[in-house]
Amino acid sequence: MNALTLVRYSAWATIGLLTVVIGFLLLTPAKRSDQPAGGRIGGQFQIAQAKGGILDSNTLKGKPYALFFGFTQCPDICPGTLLDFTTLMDEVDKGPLAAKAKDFRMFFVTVDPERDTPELMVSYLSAFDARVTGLVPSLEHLPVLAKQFAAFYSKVPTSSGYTMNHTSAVYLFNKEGVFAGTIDTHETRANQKAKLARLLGG
Amino acid sequence: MSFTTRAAMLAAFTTVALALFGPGVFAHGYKVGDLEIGHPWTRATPPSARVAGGFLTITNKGATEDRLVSASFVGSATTEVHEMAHENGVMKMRELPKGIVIKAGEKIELRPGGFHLMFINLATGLKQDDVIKGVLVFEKAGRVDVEFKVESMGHRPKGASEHSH
Repeated sequence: MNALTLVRYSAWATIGLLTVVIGFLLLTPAKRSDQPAGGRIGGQFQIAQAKGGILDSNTLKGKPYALFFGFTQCPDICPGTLLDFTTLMDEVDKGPLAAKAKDFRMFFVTVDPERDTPELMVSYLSAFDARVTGLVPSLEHLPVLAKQFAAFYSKVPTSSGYTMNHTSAVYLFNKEGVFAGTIDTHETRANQKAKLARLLGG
Repeated sequence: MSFTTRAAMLAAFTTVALALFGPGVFAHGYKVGDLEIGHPWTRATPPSARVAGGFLTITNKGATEDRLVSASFVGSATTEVHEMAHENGVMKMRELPKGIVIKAGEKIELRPGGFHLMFINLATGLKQDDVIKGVLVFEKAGRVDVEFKVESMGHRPKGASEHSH
């Protein structure tokens, strides 16, 4: 084996090794500690606001927020959840996180844009904390959005029209816009408050 | 038995009696045939809300089952009998076109998270402390006029579980 052959073999060995390493890096999914198990929930979105204009998730950078799918023709859980949030924010406003809570937003995304017009949403939401913002996606955008947030909704026919099934949880996102768990209306007030405080404080 | 023991027992008995038959149950109720209707109520609505839930208890003191077939509410164009249930993180709604059966001796509760009347297409918003007339129609006991008390927007009946099951 002369010197040239040795160099050639070394070069091929290096290429082989690099191929294996690069292949391994490409095929192994990147593990990021800020991602929830089961894939990414949320991410970038642009949705029409009931009060006018478009909410672009890019404008939320640095601010934690909550997001909730519901509809106004909802007999219990939607007004209940919005009222829970209103009461929670009243309490937070009296505590040490008041300054951080000022910029907090809760987005109420209607799953019934056919009946929940922007005007109706604005009027309906006036009963709750001013940090609740109504979002009215188009009928075409709604399934895309639901998939993005792993949310469920469906129309249920009734004799006079229809009602809606929908995911009841409130999604929480930290100031990096990364999914940070949920708050459910069935949880105790203390639990809800602790989760909100952790989100605001983080 | 000493006076203090008797006084303590009386106090305990009164507490239990109040807890069992507290205000709300005696506050307003109706009788129709073998059925007792307890405290029909609804909730104040946010502005522009088109629907509200109607809640009450029905106790069947008779020997045969009866059925809540339909209802009406002065404040809404339509009233349907619905059920909601929280399953796998989803709030599910459905109409009960055949109404709700109340077996002999049974007490059923229409409450947030379960059976309820669905008042659809409200004429105006419902304001707390208003009293609004309605009618319940039962298969055997027939019709009964009732009044729904409008409670606060977030009202939950006392002793009711937060959970639907």
